Amino acid sequence: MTDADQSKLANPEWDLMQRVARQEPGAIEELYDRFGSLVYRMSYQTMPSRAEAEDAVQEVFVRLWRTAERFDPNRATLVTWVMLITRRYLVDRLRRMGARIQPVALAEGYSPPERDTTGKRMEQREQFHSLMECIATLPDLQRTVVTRAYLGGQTLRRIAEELDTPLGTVKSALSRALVRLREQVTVEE
Amino acid sequence: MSKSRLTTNELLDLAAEDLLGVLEDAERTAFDESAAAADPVVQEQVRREQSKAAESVQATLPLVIQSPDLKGRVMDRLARESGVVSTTTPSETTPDETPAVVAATALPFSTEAASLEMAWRDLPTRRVNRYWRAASLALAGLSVALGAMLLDSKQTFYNLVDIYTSESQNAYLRMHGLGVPYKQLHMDSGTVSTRFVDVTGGNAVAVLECNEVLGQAYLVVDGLTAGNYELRYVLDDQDDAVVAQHFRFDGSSRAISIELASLPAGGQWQICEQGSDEALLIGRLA
Repeated sequence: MTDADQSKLANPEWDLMQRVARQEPGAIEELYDRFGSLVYRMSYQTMPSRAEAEDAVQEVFVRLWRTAERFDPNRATLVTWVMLITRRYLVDRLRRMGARIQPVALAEGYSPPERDTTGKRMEQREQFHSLMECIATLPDLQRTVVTRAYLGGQTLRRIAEELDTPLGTVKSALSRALVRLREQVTVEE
Repeated sequence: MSKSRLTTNELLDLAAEDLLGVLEDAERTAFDESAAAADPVVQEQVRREQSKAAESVQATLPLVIQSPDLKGRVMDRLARESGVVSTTTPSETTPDETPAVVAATALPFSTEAASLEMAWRDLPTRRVNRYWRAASLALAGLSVALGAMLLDSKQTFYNLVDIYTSESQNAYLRMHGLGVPYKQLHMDSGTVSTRFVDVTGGNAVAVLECNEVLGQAYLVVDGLTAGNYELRYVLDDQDDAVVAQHFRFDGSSRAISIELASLPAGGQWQICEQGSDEALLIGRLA
């Protein structure tokens, strides 16, 4: 047995996914208790309605169950794996929906609306403001690339073609944008 | 991009894009195959790149609470997908007990069914007089019925899964003096929301909604491990909490009524495990 195999056997996340794959009682519930909220928040951010977000959560957990045996802790932590499966599903769904983000709204800049004191909808405010406040502070190209790729599910190649920008430049913009978004949260905390 | 193996630089270059799900199909396949075949050092590098990207994504996620019944719907969906019915019959069971075992194994993701099956298999086999068995079952049924009738009505209501209460439920609450329903408080313009942040690096979220005019507050929590917790308010210059209430989280989010008439100022809300001083979530005004 290799060192990698041995470390896998001792990994509780691998154990959990193996139990999910074997359909052991309580295993998938444990997985949902740990990651259901995360998957829902990711779905809610991307899908156009709450109902579609909830539908996406169901589909993601079906996929997590079906691919449980393939989880390799040497390849990714379980939270990364869950996010990977979730993002792949959401992007595939966006592409099937033909979703496009209107670049005009981004070019005009983003300003948080005034506090809604009548019939407030906390969840709708959170969905929009949390992400857009972060993205609004990015330079133009980074903002456009992150929004089209992350919210629109476009490939970087297609973004590069539409913006008439080298693919390498688009990739760099995405990479820098992710670093800045992460740093923003670190500073705020 | 070809489907041949990617170099280390290409793997690291595509790691974040893979996490975001924006690779083209051929790229995705090539990335998966190459990452699986890479040596441990490269795999560790890929894992770190994707963890960084994952942190960035999590930083932008909205603090929204899922519907309390979503977990149940997901479990039901998985049960339908599995659709497995076991044909094995435990040797300890008697013929008239077989249907219970078959029902218990039909839904592998049903924990109640699995518990039933396990309990059933653990029962010792012995001959029991059928009249005594009938009397035992009748007494057991009667005690369950009596227990249900004696359940506290308020607790029964707050165990309801759906926090978006129907009009009949609203009427019931008003009739029994159980206060303003969560739905009404949530929609009221005078309600102040306090949003909690998980300071342990986990994915727990919580929102405390308080309305001084209506004189009530609700706490909605998600992502914590099931157990007993304490909601407390600690002033900046003091160690002791000025407000504290214990609550139990059962693993699925629902609105928990909090006995709070007004919000204090000059401190912070904390959610801790009962008996612990270590804050798991800290709340600040939205």
